[in-house]
Amino acid sequence: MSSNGAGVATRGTASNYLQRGPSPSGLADVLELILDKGLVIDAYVRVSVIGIEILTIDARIVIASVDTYLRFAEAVNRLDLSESGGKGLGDLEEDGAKRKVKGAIEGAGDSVKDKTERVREKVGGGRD
Amino acid sequence: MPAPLYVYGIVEAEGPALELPEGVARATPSVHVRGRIGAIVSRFAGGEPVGRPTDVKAHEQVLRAVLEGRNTVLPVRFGSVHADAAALERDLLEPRAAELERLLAEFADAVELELRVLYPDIDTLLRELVDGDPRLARLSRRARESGSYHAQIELGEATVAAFEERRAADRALVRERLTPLVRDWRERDELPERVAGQFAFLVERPRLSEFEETAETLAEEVHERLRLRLLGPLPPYHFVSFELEPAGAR
Repeated sequence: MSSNGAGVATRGTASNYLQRGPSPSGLADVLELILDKGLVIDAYVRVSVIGIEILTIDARIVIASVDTYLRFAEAVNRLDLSESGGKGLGDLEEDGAKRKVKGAIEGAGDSVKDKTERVREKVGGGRD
Repeated sequence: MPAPLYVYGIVEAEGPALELPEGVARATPSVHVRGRIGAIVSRFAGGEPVGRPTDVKAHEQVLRAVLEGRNTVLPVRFGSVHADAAALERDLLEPRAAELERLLAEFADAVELELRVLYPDIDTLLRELVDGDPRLARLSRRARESGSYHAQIELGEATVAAFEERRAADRALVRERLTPLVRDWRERDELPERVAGQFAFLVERPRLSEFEETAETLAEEVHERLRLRLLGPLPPYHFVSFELEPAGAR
């Protein structure tokens, strides 16, 4: 097995400004990379996976709503206070995203199991 | 007892032996050869559900290991399982051989590189936007002084618009520098706030170092406000995302 088979293997580049890695580092990165990508050879035998809930996390952070406007306004308002060490928009967003990711992954277990069992019935039951 | 097979990807039958890590459901992957096509598979008969984080990571790791040993791999979508080896041949490898060979030739020596462009510090970016835009500065003062809901919304809306404008310009800069070096590319449309852009590039191996050097130059040029993170070489996930209709499907 190769030396970079798992995890982050970030190496510096000549300039060190480009962050470089052969592989996605965390679960969210991997999900983003592989889910709904690649050849679909037969939708019938595909196991449904946890991806949908997870992928919508990012979409939820997308700028669209009044909530967002208020959040940005608040962030701008805070710029003047930022020397006193308040939490920035980036920090708040990351905290929120982490909670959502965690919840989605934890919550995904059961539905994955159900779906897998359905698929297994089909696979195990033979097709012809 | 049939042994269902989990499929990771498609390679040419001929090629160096592969050293593959543990796969989905902790099974050991191998190459199932039929004619000129090889399918990377592992047994999928254990009592565990697929779709756990370890399975998702294993799928990606196996494919990456394949790419270390071979120049070309067509990734198959996560969660693809065939009833047994006979079904794999009957439903995929035999009826789709010509199409798979054509795809292997089309993607020969092409790898995917994923680029994520991040705003390392949103607050600094916002400050720049406000400082550089008299209207934003005025709205900001007014929102602070009046504190009214309406003023907040107006400030927020204008800030978001300025932010999106900046992001569009940053994305355009990346496209301008890098797309001339690639065969194909994809860009993600919906982005989290701290992501300026996310791209998948299909790069031919002979141009890989030129592409990397250009990305490096760009990263250096914009390092004060953008952070560039380049992943790969990876299998061409974004570029073979389509469905092969199974021959003889029910």
